[in-house]
Amino acid sequence: MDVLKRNNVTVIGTGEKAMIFAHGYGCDQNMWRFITPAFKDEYKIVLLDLVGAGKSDSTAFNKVKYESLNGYADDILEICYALDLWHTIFVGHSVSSMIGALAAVKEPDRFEKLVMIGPSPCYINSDGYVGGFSKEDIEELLDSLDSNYLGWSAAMAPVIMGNPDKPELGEELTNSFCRTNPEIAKHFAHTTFLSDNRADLKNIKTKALILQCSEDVIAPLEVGNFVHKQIENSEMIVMEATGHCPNLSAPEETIAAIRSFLERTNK
Amino acid sequence: MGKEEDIFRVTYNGVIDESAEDLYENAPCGYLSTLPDGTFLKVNKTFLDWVGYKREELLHQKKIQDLLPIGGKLYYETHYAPLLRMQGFVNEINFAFKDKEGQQLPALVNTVQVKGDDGNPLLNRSTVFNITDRKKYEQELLRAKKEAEEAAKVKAEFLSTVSHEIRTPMNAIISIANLLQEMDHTQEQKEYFRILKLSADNLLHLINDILDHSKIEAGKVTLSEKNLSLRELVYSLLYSVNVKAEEKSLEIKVDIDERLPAFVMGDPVKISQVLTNLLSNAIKFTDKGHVALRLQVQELDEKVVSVDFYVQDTGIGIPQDRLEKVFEEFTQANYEINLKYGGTGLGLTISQKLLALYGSKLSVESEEGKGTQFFFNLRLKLGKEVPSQPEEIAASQETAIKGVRLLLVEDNPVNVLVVSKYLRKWGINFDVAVNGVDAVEKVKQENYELVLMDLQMPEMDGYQATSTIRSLAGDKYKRLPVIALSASARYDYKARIEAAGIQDFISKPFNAKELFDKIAFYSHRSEQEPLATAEPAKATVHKISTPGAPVLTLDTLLEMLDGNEKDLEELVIMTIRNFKSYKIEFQDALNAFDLKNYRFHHHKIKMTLELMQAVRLQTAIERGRKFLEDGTKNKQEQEEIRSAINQELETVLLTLKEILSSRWHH
Repeated sequence: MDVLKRNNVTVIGTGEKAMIFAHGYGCDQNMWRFITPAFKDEYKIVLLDLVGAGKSDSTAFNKVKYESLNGYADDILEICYALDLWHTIFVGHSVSSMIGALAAVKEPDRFEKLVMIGPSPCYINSDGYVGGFSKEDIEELLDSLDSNYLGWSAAMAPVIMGNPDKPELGEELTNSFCRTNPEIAKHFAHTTFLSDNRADLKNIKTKALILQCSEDVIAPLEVGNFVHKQIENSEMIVMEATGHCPNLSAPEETIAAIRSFLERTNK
Repeated sequence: MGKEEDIFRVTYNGVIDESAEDLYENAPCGYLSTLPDGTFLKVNKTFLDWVGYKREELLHQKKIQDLLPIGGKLYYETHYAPLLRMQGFVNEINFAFKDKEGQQLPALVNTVQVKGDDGNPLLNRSTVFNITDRKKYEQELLRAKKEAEEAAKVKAEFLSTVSHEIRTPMNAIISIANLLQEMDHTQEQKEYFRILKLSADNLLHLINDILDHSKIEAGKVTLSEKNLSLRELVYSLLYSVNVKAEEKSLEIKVDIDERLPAFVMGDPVKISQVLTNLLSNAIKFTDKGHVALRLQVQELDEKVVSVDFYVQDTGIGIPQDRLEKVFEEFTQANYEINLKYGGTGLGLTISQKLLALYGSKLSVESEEGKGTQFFFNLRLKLGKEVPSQPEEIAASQETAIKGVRLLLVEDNPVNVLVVSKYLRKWGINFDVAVNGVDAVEKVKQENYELVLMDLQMPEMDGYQATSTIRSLAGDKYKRLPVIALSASARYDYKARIEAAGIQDFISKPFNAKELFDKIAFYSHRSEQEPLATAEPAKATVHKISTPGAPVLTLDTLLEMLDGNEKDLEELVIMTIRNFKSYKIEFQDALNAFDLKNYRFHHHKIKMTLELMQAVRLQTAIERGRKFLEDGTKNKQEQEEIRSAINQELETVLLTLKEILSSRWHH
């Protein structure tokens, strides 16, 4: 199987050193559009769509493999093999920051630095740990995914309109970015929101930057603090940007934070 | 002036002039303006009425997200906000707003982003449509959909029950057709019964397909998880489809990645069903060339293996525009296919659905007139190692490879002993070569059906020996199946193995079932296997024709058994028992001029005789073989040989018994 096709890998930029950008749940590689121009002269930019998202090959989806984030981490490693990437800078948003971290634990030589935007190793609160959600919250979310999927018409349209003989019908009607296969999206949501990778954080030896947004419902400050504390070689920047996607809502601040981290750690 | 006049000004030609402001406030939809982070800037009265908040409670105080339940909040952050930022608008997003009382208001939201001069978003404008009624319809539709699916399931169950019921009388028809076929009939009747049997078989096949299909449709098929050896499964499968391939003179190629773990967890029935279907199809649609099965390990870690399965043929192929159709129910690539080849058009659909249970998918590549390749991947958990159990091979099956002419090339006597234990058990007619040079010589002299080749040997190794055999003049040397048998089961040997012309690989310590299946497969064993043509007698390597040689020695055997006296004792007891029966069998074969049987027993006894260096008995038996091969049928000579064999056998038996009593006090 061609992993570059599977993950719709795009390589741009003129630099030697590779910077891998991986999007979070609900999005695709388009979410980096405001960030990558700032780095493309210095770095080789590697963009990808996780299986099921964007223009990835959704036939490569496999329930068993992607039941844990390790399945996605293996995909990242395979992209590294295919492009012969070593000592890369991995920029992951949300769940992908954990996916990148797992990949870096498996093969540390492939990763020199990790930039984790809004990471959360575990979304559910449990004795002493604040994940931001109660078990009931996550169940409600997953329930709403299961029972109310029709409601999310943007995501649903390709299915309803997805007449195999007339694929163009589905395309015209939907929003053009971040299209996900709804079945896979549902599975990915389960994998993401039920994941607990807290124990893996201690094994990360790669230098890491944690970008924490203010007022992030998905990954609140407590979670950022926890991640920072667990990863030995990490620093954390609390951004002025609010929400969960500073790379979209505050690209300048995000670029500046990444850039200063890269410069500082290069010394 | 009344209040209405502020709102509606009637123009002089009688048309009502609408107030934009009033429209904003009281339109039948909600209007929201928010900051890019979701904070309310301006909302209309309609929306306020719907959610029950006062204007001052929302403006600059709350964000859109605050009015959403938890699922909606996550959707807002992960889908809605990124999408809006990227494309500048979002259409028809379904949110449920929580009103002040906590009641949910199902709504459809369209949003556009207003950007400033610098291109950065300033604010978002949204319209909110109340879809409470539509939501009810939607739920009704969902319910109707579920009901329809339920009804379809009931129908499928009915179909499955009916098919099952049809099977019983069908089996009776087939059994009786079988019985009738075996009776004496006129030529015409025979033909009728043949057609009856053929049609009944086809009908049963069709019913089985329908049954499988409806079972899957009814969701009655689940995967079992059993410890299984994919290698064994593949070989027993190939063994069963091989008959049809032989009929069409098709070559069957197998390539199993050596990295494939010995045991995986999987459903043997389902995996077999998919592979059998693909292989039968490949054979069915190929008239010349080959059918190849390849198992390639994609990924392997300590828990899971990901295996790619390829079934490729050089058959008629499928037109590009029909490629996807072949997976549809009751659809074959075209109508003529059905006329020419028959079939239900269900096989691939069933395979596809079975693979779906594994979260996998069958894909196809094809070129018309050139051939087709089907591919699927399975991710399977690793299974537990189970020691090889020769009992696994059904007794009825064991005779299937009886009499196969096989050359075992192996320099290590212990390995010879182990392998030959099985070969003998299965009645295989085998010789042993102790190195590559010996192997090439033996191959030249005998018509072997199969060679088991050790790779590391003195003088000439297995690679070189195989290359040499392949370069011998004669087509049969190119075709002679050679299976490597080696302890160095390493993937990187693969290229060398292929380059040498070795077809397959069994790693040591080997699994008896695998050895059996591979022998069965490569020897194309069938009942009517003709007897190998007579060849001039050959000199045996170990043979020392000294008249005064001792009757036998146990030294070699003892050495081979690493000096284990107990094993040697057992071996001697076994040999005594065997030789008693050989005595009768050699006599019978000789009396009946039955070369086939004589040879068979000769090969059975040969190995032991060589190891015991029982030269005199060996000479006597060889003389008998030559006599039968010459076919002179001289009664006197026959009697001489018979008595010589008898005498030598008796001497050997006596010696063995003496050893038994003196050495182990029997």
